[in-house]
Amino acid sequence: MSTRAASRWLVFAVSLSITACSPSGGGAGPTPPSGGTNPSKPTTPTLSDQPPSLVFRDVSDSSGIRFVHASGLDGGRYYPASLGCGLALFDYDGDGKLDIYFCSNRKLPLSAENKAMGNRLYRNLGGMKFEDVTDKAKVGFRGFCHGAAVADVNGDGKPDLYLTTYGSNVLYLNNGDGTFRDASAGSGIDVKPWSSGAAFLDYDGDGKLDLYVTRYARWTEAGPHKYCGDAKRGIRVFCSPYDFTPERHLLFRGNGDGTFVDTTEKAGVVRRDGRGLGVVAADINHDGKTDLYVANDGCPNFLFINNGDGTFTDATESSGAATNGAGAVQGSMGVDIQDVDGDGQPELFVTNFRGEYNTLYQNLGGGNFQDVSAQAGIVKDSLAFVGWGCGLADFDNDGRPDMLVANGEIDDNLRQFGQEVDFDQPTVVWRNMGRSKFVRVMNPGPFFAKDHNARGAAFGDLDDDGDLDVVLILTDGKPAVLSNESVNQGNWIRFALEGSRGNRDAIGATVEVYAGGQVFQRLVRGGDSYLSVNDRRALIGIGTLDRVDRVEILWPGGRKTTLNEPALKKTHRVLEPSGGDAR
Amino acid sequence: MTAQSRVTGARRSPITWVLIAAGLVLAVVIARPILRSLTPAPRLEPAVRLLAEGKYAEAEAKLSEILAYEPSNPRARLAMADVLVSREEPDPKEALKLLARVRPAMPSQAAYALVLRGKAEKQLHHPGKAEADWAEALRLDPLVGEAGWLLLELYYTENRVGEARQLALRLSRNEPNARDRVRLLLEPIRFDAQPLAAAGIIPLFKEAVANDPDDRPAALAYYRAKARDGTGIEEAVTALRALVQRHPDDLACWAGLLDALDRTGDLDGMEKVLTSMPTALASGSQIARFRGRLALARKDYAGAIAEFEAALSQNDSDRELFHRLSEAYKLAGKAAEAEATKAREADIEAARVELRGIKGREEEEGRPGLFEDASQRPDLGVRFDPVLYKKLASLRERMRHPDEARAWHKLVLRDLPDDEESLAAVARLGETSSP
Repeated sequence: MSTRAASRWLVFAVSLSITACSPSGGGAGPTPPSGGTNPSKPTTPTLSDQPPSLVFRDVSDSSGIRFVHASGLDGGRYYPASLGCGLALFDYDGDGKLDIYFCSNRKLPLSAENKAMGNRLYRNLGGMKFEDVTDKAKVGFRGFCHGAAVADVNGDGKPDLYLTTYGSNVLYLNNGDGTFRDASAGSGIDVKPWSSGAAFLDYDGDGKLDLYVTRYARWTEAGPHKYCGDAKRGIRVFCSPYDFTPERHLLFRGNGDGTFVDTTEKAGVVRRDGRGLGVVAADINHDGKTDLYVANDGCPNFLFINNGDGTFTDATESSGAATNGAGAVQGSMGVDIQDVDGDGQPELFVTNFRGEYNTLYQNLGGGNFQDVSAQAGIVKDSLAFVGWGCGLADFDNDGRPDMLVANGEIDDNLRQFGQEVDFDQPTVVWRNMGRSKFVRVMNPGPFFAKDHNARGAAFGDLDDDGDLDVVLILTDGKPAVLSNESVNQGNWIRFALEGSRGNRDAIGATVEVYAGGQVFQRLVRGGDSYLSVNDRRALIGIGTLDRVDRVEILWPGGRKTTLNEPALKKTHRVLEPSGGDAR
Repeated sequence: MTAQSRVTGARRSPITWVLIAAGLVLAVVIARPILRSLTPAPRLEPAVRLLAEGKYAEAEAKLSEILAYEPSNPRARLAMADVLVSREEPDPKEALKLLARVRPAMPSQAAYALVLRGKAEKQLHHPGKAEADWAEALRLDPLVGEAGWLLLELYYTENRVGEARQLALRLSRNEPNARDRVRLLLEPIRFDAQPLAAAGIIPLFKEAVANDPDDRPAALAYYRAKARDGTGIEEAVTALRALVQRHPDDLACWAGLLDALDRTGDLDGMEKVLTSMPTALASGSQIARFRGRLALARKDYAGAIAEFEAALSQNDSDRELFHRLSEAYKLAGKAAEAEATKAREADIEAARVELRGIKGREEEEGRPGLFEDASQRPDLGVRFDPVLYKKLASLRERMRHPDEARAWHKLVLRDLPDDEESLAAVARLGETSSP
């Protein structure tokens, strides 16, 4: 056997291994042209033969929002720029209307000239109109921001704002007068150098909010930075996540005054094998304690079950929700949790990279989850896309959470390698048809007829008309503000919960509406979607039913509240009972 | 009109001029071989050396001289064909023309010609023809350069791991070159250490499939990749259905279709295919994995367990099967069995990770996997390395490839015939009838 032959074999092997490590899920490298049908076109089944019931109208242009996102995407391909950022929907000024806080990235390295407008806060004026109050509120962070988390961390009744960044994380405490103060220094949660997502929760039940921060990898702008792509032709792409060492995530116990202490090890949630992005804190097993589920990129998704004694059990490997049903880890980004099949047990959902479908895990009880993505009918319409922000949101108030995923590639130059993959991708909506079946909705509005490059997505009732609207971060562009104008919407009821012992946002609570012999469950969560914050009020649709028999609220910590026959189409403010159960 | 003679002034007739021309031609014809016999013939060896050094332009120039001198020189023709398929801008069509005129004088020459013809066919996107040529080349001359490597490359891109394993083991046993003997055993490991992404496979076979839709291995590789990648699901499934209709007795085609439907979440489609398959094929263990997949989705855990166990009885190296079986046990309430199966899955995965490497693990930052490490050693096979061979043997045994493990231990015993560990391993692993 000739050495020449062997050396040529080696070259081929290396070139194929580069191909195998393409950005599509295994690595980076050029590939020659390939053909394929347009994955934006629907695969069966769809609801295209009927007038769409889920309809959204893009009101961005008339909203007054002038925010423009800056990704930092350039020829240097600094990895954080691929991840984009999220946004937060919260009522910062207590006027009852949801305001919007947009995060933004910027050019790297941080020493480079920064032309990005930075993060912006928009106050909701009603009627889908907003005004920029960033400077007045003093929350105009202009660094490299990934995500936002919101909660009242110092128990003064006002929501505070936490930012995850490349750099140092930021804590803005709400002064209550329309302004915030930077309380990062000394908070203990000004984490460096690179964080991605965050979720507030009260994990130890002491009434003081705690914080879980996800981190992606050990990467700094100083480098060295591997060149991924075709150096000969000068075409660079983002490297594979497998090129980066995961960085461990952090759990902080809150002192109730805006300061925190690292309790990661003590709580039993140390893992060094997760490139963390989205995280959700919620009562996953309905025991009154708030658990954690973390979406990791190219690593198992973590599931930590709260033991109630200040520690968690790592149920990752036993859960069935760490990988897909074939046992393969996926490039997971966004995350949500909600009961989609009406059995009272919330399902987990993650968005994943191209070539990997978005995964819906059915909650079978006992800490067991099963990948039911195929049964749900969501595989085909997610395989070709890179999924980020997501929501299991009941858009038509029929009682069944629907699904929306914001998609977008990380590289804008893959066609130069002959791959038929575009930077912009469709935002996909599926309607929950019941029995855990979803059907893609074609044409839910003109916005969806075009492809976009999206990252964060947040869901909330911006105009207080009783349905969930959607706001999307669009890469290097203005956001999409999608007003929900779905037809034939069902009846609804809403609950704004207020914890009485510090966790004022009632993160970890479960609301169950009993009506017509059915149970409609919604969770109050810390952490949502992709690096974003949703409307924390629990809006529950009940379809054609016209009466609620009772509502049961399981508060974090185990207290219960029962409401009998609350009125429909109304927001009920419910205060956690201070002692014993309330009726 | 006649020309006038300078001497006599008399004019020459046309016939005279024809005779003069004929005389000149005859002189050239007679003189040429005489002159050629007096001129040294251009030697082939320098051209061959240039070819071996990859200096194709210079080799081509010299070979052109040789072929001008002696157009029917078979060695020169072969060498020129080699240049044409090897240079940066190959000309496979011209190479095929040349090769068609070669009359090999001996089996080794015939084999070499087939290797080159296969390369040309591959460049023209006819992998099926290329495979046939290379296989025939190996049959004619088991030691022919490159044929085995070219086949292994093809099997790798088409994910034909079983055939790659058999070929690599067979070639390694008979390979006289120490370096290649070891490198051949690394080939089956490449499937686990450096699996090709679907996006990388698609462009390799697009034209091949267009040229010959019935090149089944190429079609299966292409359409399965398109389905997994999500960029051409409907096209892939339609094509695979057509392939099955044309070749209803080919189990690989049915498996390819079922795999595409599985990967794209079409459980109903899988069920319909399973019920329409010929009974003899549907009941086989290779299809059991798909029946198990359906059963698991339908929450028939007992049925899923039975099917996955049947599938594993024929292929106990498949990590995914272990995973699904473990899930089925867990959901069926059989915790102990689930744990035991999960442990077997974890062991296979751990071994794979050692081969592949984990760039991201904090405590192992910067360390390549054992496959890459071994592949890049310049003295691999030249310097006897029993530690490496035993390590690879152990990992392959954990991944349920006893034939490969045995081959690595036999490499050890080649230089250390009394090595107790390897002797014990060979005895434990036993001999099989596989080549």
